[in-house]
Amino acid sequence: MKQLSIAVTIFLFAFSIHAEEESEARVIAPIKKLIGSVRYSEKASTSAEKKTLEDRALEYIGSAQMADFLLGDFSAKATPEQKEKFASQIREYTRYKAFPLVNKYFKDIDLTYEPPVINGDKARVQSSVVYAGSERLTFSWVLTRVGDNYVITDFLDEKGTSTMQTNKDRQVQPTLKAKGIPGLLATMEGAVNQVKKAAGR
Amino acid sequence: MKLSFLRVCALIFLAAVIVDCRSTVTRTYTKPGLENAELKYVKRVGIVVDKASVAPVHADLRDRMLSYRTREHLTHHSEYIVYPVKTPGPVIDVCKANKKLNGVILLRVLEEKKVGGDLSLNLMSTLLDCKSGDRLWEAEGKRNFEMNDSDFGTLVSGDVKRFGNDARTYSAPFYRMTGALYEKMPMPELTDSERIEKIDADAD
Repeated sequence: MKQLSIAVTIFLFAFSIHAEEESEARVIAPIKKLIGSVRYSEKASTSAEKKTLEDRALEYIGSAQMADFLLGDFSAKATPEQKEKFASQIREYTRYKAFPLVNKYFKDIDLTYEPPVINGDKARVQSSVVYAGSERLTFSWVLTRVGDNYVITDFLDEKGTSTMQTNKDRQVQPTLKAKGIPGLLATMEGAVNQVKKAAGR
Repeated sequence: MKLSFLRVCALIFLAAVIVDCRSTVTRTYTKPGLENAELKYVKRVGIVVDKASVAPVHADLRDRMLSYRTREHLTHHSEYIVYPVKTPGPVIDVCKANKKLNGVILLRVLEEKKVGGDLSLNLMSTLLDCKSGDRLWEAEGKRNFEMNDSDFGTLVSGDVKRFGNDARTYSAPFYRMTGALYEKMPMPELTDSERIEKIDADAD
């Protein structure tokens, strides 16, 4: 009986280690795939290949979840088409604004990842940017589980402040209250066009 | 032309960083003609820590951390497609068991000892061709590294959570050593489809 108990304990221990490794790889994989796809989009041999890699990178960003969060109470009033339009604008803004920045600094930095902390369908991965031999910036990736996979839905700064919450409170909600959903979509359209032009595309 | 004080400081700092990297790497070898021959097909590699390495107190932990840190470095900074090696062993067995691999990056710890708050490390890394067994590239690094390096809070904390408290010994030294060792490693050129393969393999 005692031997069986020991065997079960060892099995459970082995399983729990395996489960932790599984979840760590599963949570961090979208982050690494996002960064890898952006890195190689810059080296793509054709513009079609570049777009394919960027689209691939955007799959790891939960634009629909971000759109829903940013709309807040207005989400119930938005049509499915308006929600999809807003999510698409978030993706395009990311493509033209964030991806060039990732590429600009990629070679000179390292990213370190702590094992994820999982809470329900959310996971948080603390990360640091190492530059010129020391850590310069710490932040956290927030991911949300969708089906069997995780998608990136937020970033927390060193103090734990949510980038999405800040954007929601300072940008999106005031625009929604002043101009409604069509006004928000028009404002976003202008912002996307501006970053697209700045990116030379 | 007068140089401003800040510019002079920046130049001194840059020179110090260059000297720093050079002094860590004590020897390199590259097989003649490598870039136009073997690097045309040696693109998929696995990482193996040689069991002939010196055996310190935390040998198993050290080997797992060294594999992990080398893989993290090479996935981010190299063009090699780095596949995880699930069952480490002699190079020939690793090549046979992992049909995708064209090469193995073999790591051998030649010296490891604690000197006060430093870890004195002598590490050799060799790229081997799975097909011929030939040594394609090799680098050796030797240096004392600070163990409790305050520059790496998150790195150390992540390693401790992942590998246990003894990971503190190796976190910063391995980070700094791998950064120096692979800086001049010759790289293969990947096609578009191989880049997709790398993105997926790196995240595995």
